[in-house]
Amino acid sequence: MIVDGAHTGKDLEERFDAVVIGSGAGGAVVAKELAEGGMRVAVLEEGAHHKTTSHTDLPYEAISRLYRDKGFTTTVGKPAIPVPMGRALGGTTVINSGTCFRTPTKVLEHWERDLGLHSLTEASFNPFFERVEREINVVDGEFKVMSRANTIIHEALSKRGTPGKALKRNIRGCEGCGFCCYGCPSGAKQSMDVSYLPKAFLAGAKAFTNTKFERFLTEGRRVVGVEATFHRDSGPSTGHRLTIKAPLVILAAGTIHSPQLLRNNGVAVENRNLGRNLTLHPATKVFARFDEEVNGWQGTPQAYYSDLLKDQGITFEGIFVPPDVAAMTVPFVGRRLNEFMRDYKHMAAFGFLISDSSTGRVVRLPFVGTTVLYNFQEADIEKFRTAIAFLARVFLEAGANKVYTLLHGYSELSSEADIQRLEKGRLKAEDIDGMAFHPLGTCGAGRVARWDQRAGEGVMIADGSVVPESLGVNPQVTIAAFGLRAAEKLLESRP
Amino acid sequence: MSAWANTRGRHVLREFIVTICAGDPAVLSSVRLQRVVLKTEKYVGELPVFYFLLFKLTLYLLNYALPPLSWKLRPFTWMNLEERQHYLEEWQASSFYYKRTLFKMVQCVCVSHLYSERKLLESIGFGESLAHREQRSFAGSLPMSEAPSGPGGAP
Repeated sequence: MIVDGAHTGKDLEERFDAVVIGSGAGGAVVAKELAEGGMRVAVLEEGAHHKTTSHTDLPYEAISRLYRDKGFTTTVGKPAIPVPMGRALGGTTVINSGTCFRTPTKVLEHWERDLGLHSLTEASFNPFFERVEREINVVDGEFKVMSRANTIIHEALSKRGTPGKALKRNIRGCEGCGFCCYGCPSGAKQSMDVSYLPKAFLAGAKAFTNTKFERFLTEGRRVVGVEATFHRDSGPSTGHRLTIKAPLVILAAGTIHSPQLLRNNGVAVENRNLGRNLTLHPATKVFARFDEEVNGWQGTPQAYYSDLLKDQGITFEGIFVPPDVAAMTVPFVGRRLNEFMRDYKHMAAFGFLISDSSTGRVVRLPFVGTTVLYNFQEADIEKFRTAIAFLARVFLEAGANKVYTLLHGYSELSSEADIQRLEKGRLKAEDIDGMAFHPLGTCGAGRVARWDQRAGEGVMIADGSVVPESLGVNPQVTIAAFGLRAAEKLLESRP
Repeated sequence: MSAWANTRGRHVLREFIVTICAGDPAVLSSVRLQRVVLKTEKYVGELPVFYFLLFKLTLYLLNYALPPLSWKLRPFTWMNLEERQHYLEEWQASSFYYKRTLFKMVQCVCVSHLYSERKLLESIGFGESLAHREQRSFAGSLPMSEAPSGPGGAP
């Protein structure tokens, strides 16, 4: 059952066995598992419920509708980088690319060996991965629905003798319409709103959308419920409140907001790691102009990857954005912008993300609100340089006339000499124009949350914040596995 | 705050958008400029307060070309198209990071609204994909729309 907070018209007070704050990759999984385990579960979601049939708008309009802060969430630091996050029932899974990786073995080994997280082993996580993958239907990507922007790179890497692979994706009957990040219009992407949450509702869970968590209700040090306010769609409060009494609160509000919610409520505030150790996957893309018509927006934009430089912390992944979104990132104005956009059907693009060695923290700034302080370190700047030079070479070998980067001072590369200039030239953090995805680690297991994901009496964490460190790959399966793990522990410990 | 700009503000926004596409008739004939300006204004008005204020401030600084960000000492709207273009290129290529960043913020909002005009997207070749998206009305095997709603639930 879904209750739209924008239309309740009155205050509500209810009792549940558990309340889950957030409905993304972590929260939705916990909600379904607990509901199917016989518990009465409430899910609080700040965003609205957008039906699959509503995903018919222009991509830039969908960003306004489905992204937090209309896509404007940005880190403070050098460089300032946007961190896109979803704000809808289903969380960021509604607007992600549908790329699925398990937590890499090396990362799990590192957690066990270096962080002392002995319960986070590959053997203990594999059953969770298998269940999550079955539920969201993770399948091997198909070349026939891949964007030409991806297959150009596939052909070029194959010629070099180092082909990449099709990405695994959580889809059912994907036709490759190319709008994954703007709400899948065919319901093919198995985001939480079409996979886990409907099953949670069938098992009796109740979701409150347009509902903003305000505070924990406590008895002594124990959290015994939550208070929230109802809002109009992405707008002001309706003036009505929701009070939920529940002996269990599962926080799944996302890596950036969960630590701030704990801090605001005096939970785990004595832990100096709360909100720190934030890792991101800084990323950018490289455009390349070809004589052929690429029409890169046709087909799945993120369907192919290469881990050729994974030892250097770089993962290459396909990316292609529709023209209205691309226009925002083009590093030109005036005639050059017009030329670029006129030629957009001839453009290919490919991207990469890096496993960062920089860390940031979540703070609350006056006027800005909850935000991320994050500065690039030298090692990460070098990763960007290496990855961009690599992609530029591959594109030129593939026959591109020109390569466009989002680096200040190196926006056009058309020869080996230009690439060498980039490799040898000066590059500062502020010269980098990119985005960052997959925030993790601000309530890391073993640092803030206990190894069993508890952060306080009656509070458990089940979102990206509890993942200890950067994965180097897309984290939705990992976050869902942490959600499943939390749910299992709760069901096991149930009297 | 959706109608935050006064006549002057709207004029600056309009001239900024025209300059961003170099006044190219091929672009301008494919868009309804007044609609682009109003859409941009509405979007900015709905941004979180901090970004809204930053956008307004940047537009003000851009228009009045004030030191230390600029030494033109002549409002943007008084310049001819050629001068304006050079002026915006200066902002974009500036070695001063914050100047570049502020410019990028305004540019990215305005350009995305300009390039959201249907005829312009069709001229790029994106029309077919767009029509495909608009026509989709697939209901999944377990649609949320069939989930029962409680008191005050979604209709």
